[in-house]
Amino acid sequence: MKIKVQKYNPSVDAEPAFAEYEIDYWEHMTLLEALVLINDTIEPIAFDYSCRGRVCGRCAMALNGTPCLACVTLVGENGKNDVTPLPGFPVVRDLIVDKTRITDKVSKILARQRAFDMSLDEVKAPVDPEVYKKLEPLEYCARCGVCMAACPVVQASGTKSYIGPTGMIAIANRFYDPYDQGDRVVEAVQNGLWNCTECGTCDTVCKALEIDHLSIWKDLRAAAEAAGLKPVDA
Amino acid sequence: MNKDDCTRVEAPQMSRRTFLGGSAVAFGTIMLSGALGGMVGCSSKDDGPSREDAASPGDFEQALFELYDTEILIIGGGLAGSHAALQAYKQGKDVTVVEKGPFHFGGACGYNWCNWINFIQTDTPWNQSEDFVLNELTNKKIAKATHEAFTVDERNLLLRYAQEGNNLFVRDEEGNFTPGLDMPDYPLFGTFNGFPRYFTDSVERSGARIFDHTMITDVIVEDGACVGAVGLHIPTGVVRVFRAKATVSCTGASSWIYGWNTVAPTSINSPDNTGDVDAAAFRRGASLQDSEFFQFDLISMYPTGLAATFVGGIGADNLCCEYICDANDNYFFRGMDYSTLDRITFTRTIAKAIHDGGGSPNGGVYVDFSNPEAFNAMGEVYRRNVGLWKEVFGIDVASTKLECALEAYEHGSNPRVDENLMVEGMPGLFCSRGGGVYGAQGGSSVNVAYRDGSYAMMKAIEYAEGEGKGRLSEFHFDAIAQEVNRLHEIRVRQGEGKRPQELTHMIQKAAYAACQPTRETDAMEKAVAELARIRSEEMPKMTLADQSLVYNSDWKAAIEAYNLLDIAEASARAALMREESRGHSYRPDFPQENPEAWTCNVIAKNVDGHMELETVPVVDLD
Repeated sequence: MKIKVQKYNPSVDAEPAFAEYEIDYWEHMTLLEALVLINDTIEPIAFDYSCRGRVCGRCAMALNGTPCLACVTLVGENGKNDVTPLPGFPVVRDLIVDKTRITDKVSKILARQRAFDMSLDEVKAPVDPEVYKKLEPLEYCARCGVCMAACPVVQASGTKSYIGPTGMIAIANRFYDPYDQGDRVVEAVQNGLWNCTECGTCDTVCKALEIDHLSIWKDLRAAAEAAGLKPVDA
Repeated sequence: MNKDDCTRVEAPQMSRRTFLGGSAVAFGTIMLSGALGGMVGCSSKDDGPSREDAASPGDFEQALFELYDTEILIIGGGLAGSHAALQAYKQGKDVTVVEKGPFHFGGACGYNWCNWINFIQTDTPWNQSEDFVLNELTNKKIAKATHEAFTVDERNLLLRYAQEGNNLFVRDEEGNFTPGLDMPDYPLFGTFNGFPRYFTDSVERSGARIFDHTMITDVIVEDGACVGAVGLHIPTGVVRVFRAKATVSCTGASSWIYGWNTVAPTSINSPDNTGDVDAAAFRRGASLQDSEFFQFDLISMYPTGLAATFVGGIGADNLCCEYICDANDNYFFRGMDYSTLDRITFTRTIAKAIHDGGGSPNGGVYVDFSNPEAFNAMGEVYRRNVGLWKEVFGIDVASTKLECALEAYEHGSNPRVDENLMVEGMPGLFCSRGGGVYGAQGGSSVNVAYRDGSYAMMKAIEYAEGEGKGRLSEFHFDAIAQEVNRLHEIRVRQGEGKRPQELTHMIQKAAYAACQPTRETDAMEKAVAELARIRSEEMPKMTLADQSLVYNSDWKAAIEAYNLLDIAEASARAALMREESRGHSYRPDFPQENPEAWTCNVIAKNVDGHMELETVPVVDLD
């Protein structure tokens, strides 16, 4: 099969260029397998991976323009396979990008806002099962950035008006969290809740299948509206 | 000196944060040795347009390095490293964390997986500890000291996870807290859905200086004591020198030696798990211990891209052995008392079934999903992949017998430490998982990683404020120059031989043959000979296909190949040396445990550049 990979060393190259490779295909071949095969047997490609199971987020990139995790994305034996770095992030080399800006932001958002430390009794106390059903899936967000790279709002106008789905999922995590005492509805609105177009692209590309993005955006919007935080033009 | 005056490669697209990470106290250059300087100068291979690196030392004969000073250096930001950092934060100490992975997340904290955590109901004495690692080959002084240093609340990971931000763990349909494991007469419960990334978030917020994308390549030893470490910043190719009064190694297992499938060994471990610090300490004089011991888990080997990874695969552990069968439809676990079935018995029972002729084509056994109950018995970490397999691969495992093999999720081969978790013969270097901590258990459990990360930090702080205080005044740059030269010599090496990836796979295949749960002597002997051949014949001829500095993956792989070879050799030879069945491994030629002859530790030492193995007595209480 044929596969093209965008190569770019910003310290030397004027612009990125595609290199084309011919490799042997096998059943269920993932994009990650194809890249490792090229790197091991043909020539070096700078790319990163770790878990091979969609929980580390390190192999986020794009195949034929669609953001994906290479470890759980199949290549086509006969079709087009054009591999590019994750859109919207600065390129270090080839398929390596810098995602520090969003990962640092998410770490800060996830700081649980509490007046006092939690006790063991609180941890073991029963919770509303509906809250559990909403919250538990969000734990699986790998912060890979695939949703941000696919989000039309972020890609069109950056993260100023809308933090993007990765950050909004983190806000939603603490919004549902029964132990968090911060005002996450205000935070969601500040971070562009109403600028999301609810197109659902994030949900289509996300491989944490538990997460139902659209229902989360709906819950956040309902809470914002109830708090009087709905803009007149929304 | 101004950073921008001397940095040769700063791509404008990169955020400064990623490059700088903190402030260097100084920048320096080191003259590359004459031979290397000359070699670098004429080595610009013409391998296509635009592939020459403008920043190659071919233009210089000097290599730049950055120098950072810190009170205490933590190597690795995973389970142990994050707790070491939080312990230091609690005590108000200045720490620097060096992490090999990107975006500050490393090791098991780099995986967003629902790990198993304990919560302790009642306190216990150290020798009835809840930590699952006490065995005949454990250093008893370590076991006692690390247990007694903490209160029940401090050891109680459930609370720690919740306090750092973890949400609800496992709940039943009414929203009640639901333990996943509740053993009779045992002092603790367990539950799933602990997400260790919250700890790294906390470290991030604690203000610790974090240098990610930086792999440690050497420990700095002056006057017999460790005074820091040398690392390579992969995105720039700049060597970073970290001087510290005390250094805490929190690196994980080095199971990356264990075989090769298409993208990974037969192991869940991260590609970062190449034993960099263990091998560096070994080269500088530390003894590697517990190298022959691994911990195994049963996991799917197909589709190949997800082989052996339990975060992407489907499998069974000792909680669902009811559904495990061999190639002859023999459900060999049935009839055993599952409630007391520990991991060692689990692995050795499977290893024996494979040896007795029940093995699958790929050397594993089967998990029978014809009974839907099998799905309920497995942990959520596996179960959530059933839907993924359907969606991505079109594979429906329901009603099938799924072939699974034993993946190595933990491994020993760590520097031998004393009861302060300080490396024997190398004061100043502490290891959260040192030789002697796990003995025959072969590696960590989650709670021990946290506990020993905290403990190593407590002892490192004591050392930094005592004996280690004046050590830095004696700092010389000779060892730094030696390491910088070693690294750049590897980068520009142009032999007639194989690339580092191919050599690595040869090392992995040999280590796999030697370190199986079923250990056949013939195969082990061949593997040991093969590793010796790779070292003498292949490594000196190694050839890199890229000589640039910026994110040079061949360079990284080449440095790692040396580390993997050291760990593989120690592991294969120790496994062969130990003529008994113990821990997770079963040797058909020596089917029984032999306490009389083998209640001892095997250590590997660097004697004038050669590895020598010997046995030493297990450390008992005075």
